Amino acid sequence: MKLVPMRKRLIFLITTVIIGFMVAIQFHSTQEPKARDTRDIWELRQDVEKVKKVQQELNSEIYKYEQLIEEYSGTGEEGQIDTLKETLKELKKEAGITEISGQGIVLTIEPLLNDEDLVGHSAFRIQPELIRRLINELNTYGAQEISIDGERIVNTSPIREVNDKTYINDEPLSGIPIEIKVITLDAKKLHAEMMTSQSGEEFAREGLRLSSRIESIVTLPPYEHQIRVKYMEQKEET
Amino acid sequence: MWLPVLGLMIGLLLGLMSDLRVPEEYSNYLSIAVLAALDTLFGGIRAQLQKTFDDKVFISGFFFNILLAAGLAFLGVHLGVDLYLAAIFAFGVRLFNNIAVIRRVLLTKRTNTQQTEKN
Repeated sequence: MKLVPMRKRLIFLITTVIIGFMVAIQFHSTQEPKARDTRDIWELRQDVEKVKKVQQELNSEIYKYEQLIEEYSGTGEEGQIDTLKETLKELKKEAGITEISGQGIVLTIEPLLNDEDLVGHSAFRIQPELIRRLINELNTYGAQEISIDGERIVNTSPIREVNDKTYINDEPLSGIPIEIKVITLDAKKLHAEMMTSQSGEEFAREGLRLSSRIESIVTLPPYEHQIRVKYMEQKEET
Repeated sequence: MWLPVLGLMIGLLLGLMSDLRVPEEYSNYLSIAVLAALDTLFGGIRAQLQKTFDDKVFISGFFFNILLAAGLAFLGVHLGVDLYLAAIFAFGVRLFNNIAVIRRVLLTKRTNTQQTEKN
């Protein structure tokens, strides 16, 4: 085969080098830039703290379940059934389908003005958004269980507006005044928080007063409807 | 035959080592430029095999095609028409053509040499 002249070779070499260079740069550019860790020592410490907390929680949970397993396997049949019943009870309590009582506060929603001033005034309506905000605020300040107008609030409780009426758990709210019962570990603190809460002002804007009082025993009714589980699946046995 | 491969390797190595990056909005232009360059390269190889290679044509074609392709893509972006598709189509078709011609030329060369060996 005839040899290709030097000049041509050089041209080919340079061209291919340029092409390779371009391909490499393109390759570099299309690759996602690496996310750099830009946390400083303080943030890292905080993150470690967070992770440690999670670990602690997980550990205590593991301990709890290990004990449960021990109880299941250790005692006789009767004991096992007892343990199962115990667990069922606990789960029901957690889901909110049992009656529960404890110390807490009772919030009352009533008209801001006196009855005499209300002649000719249209009936008050409590917007669902107000209730949602109130629930969020209560949860922020450490409420454990909440019931509104005799309806227990669980994780999936719907609060919506239908035909100008506010429905909680698919039941319409009865007229004003409405009682909201809250169970909490520290009733005094929650009471103090609710006295100066944002929700209080929001209710006032709607012409409603949100008042709170501490009670040593508050009893919440159970959640009475079916709890529909939509996004959960049974874990397969391994 | 090994020269283009060697060049490609050197280029890739240089590019990977330089850690150069093109901003994302310009990576389109670069990809089209790469396509144009590849097209010209294969055109050059074909011309070499058909003994019609002219280095002036090759070099001018190399740079002109790259600039034209990038320019077309640029124009397309500003007109709101995907003009770079035209460039991709043209270069793609030509690439296939060139490679097909190269394959045929190589095949005929091989059969020729086999026949001469037999004789």
